[in-house]
Amino acid sequence: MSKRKRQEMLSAYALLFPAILLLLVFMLIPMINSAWYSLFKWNLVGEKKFVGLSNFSFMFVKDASFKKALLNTCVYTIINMVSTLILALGCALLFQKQSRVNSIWRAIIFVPVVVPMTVMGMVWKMLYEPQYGAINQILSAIGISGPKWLFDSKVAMLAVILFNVWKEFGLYSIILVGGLQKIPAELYEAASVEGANWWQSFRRITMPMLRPIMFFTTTILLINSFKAFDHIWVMTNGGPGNSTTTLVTYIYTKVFDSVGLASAASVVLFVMVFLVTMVKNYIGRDGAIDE
Amino acid sequence: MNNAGKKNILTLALLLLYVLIALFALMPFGIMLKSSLEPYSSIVSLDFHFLPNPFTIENYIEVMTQYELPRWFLNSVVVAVVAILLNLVVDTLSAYALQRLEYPGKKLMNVLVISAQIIPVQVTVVPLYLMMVKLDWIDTYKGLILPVAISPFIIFFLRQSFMQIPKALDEAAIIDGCSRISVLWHIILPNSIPALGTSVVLKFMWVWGDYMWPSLVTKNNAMRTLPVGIATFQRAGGTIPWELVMPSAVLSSIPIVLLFLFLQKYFITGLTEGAIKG
Repeated sequence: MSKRKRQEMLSAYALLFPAILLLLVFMLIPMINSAWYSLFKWNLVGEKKFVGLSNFSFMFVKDASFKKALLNTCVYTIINMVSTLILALGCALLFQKQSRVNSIWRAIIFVPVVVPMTVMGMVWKMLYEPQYGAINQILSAIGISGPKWLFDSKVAMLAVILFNVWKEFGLYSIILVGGLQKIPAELYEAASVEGANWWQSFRRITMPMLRPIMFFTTTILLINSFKAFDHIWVMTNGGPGNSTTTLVTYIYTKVFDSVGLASAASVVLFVMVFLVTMVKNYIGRDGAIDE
Repeated sequence: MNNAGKKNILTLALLLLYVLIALFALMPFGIMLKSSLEPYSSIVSLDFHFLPNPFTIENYIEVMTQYELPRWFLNSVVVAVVAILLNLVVDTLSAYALQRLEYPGKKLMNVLVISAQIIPVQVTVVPLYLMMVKLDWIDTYKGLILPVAISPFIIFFLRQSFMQIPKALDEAAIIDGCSRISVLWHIILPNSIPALGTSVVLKFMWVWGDYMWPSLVTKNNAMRTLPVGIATFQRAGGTIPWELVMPSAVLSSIPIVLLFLFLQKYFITGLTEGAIKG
């Protein structure tokens, strides 16, 4: 090995050292530990007891609160994904053209994205107050008596989803604007020469050309929905009852009394995220996405 | 109806739609601001009003002088600034080594960084918390900052942007006698200002809004960050003191909204690239 090569190697290792150290200590080792702890029964103060896979069988068979959390996470994911996508696509279509006014509008819908999630969650908690909250006051002004939102176990889930849609639709909208702007204008020109109306060119040009970016957006939405926690925690604590408990609120509440169960639930979350990521990368690599 | 009439109605409908969307996006901020400027009794009053009634800045004075808000603000600033600085050093150095240098084990490092990207914080939080307890790092800045001192996403993002810089520039500099580090300093960094800006903005936003980790690693009220502190406001009996929450919410949104207004482009590229939250 030449002297220059050796020097290059040594400097590379030196440059990588802090990153490797931090990656190992704060990400990879905790990740492995998470899987390891899931095999134990342990409540922080007592003795660690090896129990094999029985945390998992307990959660999936007997633990009603885990099953509810998993079900809620699925419900949350589906409703959140569909409503965010519809709103985001609608706004993207409205604001896609490059113009002064549109860039202001795009900035407006992006403001909710940048502010802290939990802080705005607190603000929305006030908006949702059944009596004096702004939402019900406005509804009652037009003659509708609104539900008790976060205090009603049937509506609370919808309320936390609505908040999340508000918080994030701007982000997905901007991602979709990027996709729309990549569609060659000639396609639309050709279609309008042929006499196609708005709906026809939307169906025949926009939708198919947008498919890769829609797929990408959907996978991101899936992953982010699986991890829903911050706003739910400050708005409802997972309640009323356990109507808004999700996988991550389950993990969070178990940290202090059952490390084994919390870790096992973390493993479940990881597997879900991992699977979606694999599908995303696999299809992405197939050329469907050139992002 | 003639064509022009049809067109007018369509324009009007579109305009209405635009206004509705803007109201949906901005109304919560309006109500937050309004409520922060009026006494509790007006916030919970049943006759709805769009402007503070009566107008007062008493809430701001109270929350700044009688509660830990200034301390939480300071904590948030310290954590964000130090975390950003550490990220800039650690992520830039490693991205440079990953993109520009040749050494055995390079493939493995790439795989490591890419796979670390998909690990959600929520998965590592339990063992990380136990580690902090063992190290006695609960209620310390170390505990708040070090776990977020690296971002695999930012490493990856910087690596992508370094790829755009022609290697010929490095080689010319090395022939002129530059060391590897001075190549990074004099050639790579000046050519990646937008990517660095995006990384800073992205990291600031993540850390400033982070809740889960700081809520676990702080027990002492004085060590809390803004989002964690604000979420703890509660009166006996479980009612929430909105007259304290709202001014705090305003104060914690101002820095990030200002930053967004000035650095919009960085926010938008950063977030559309890094749309998966940590």
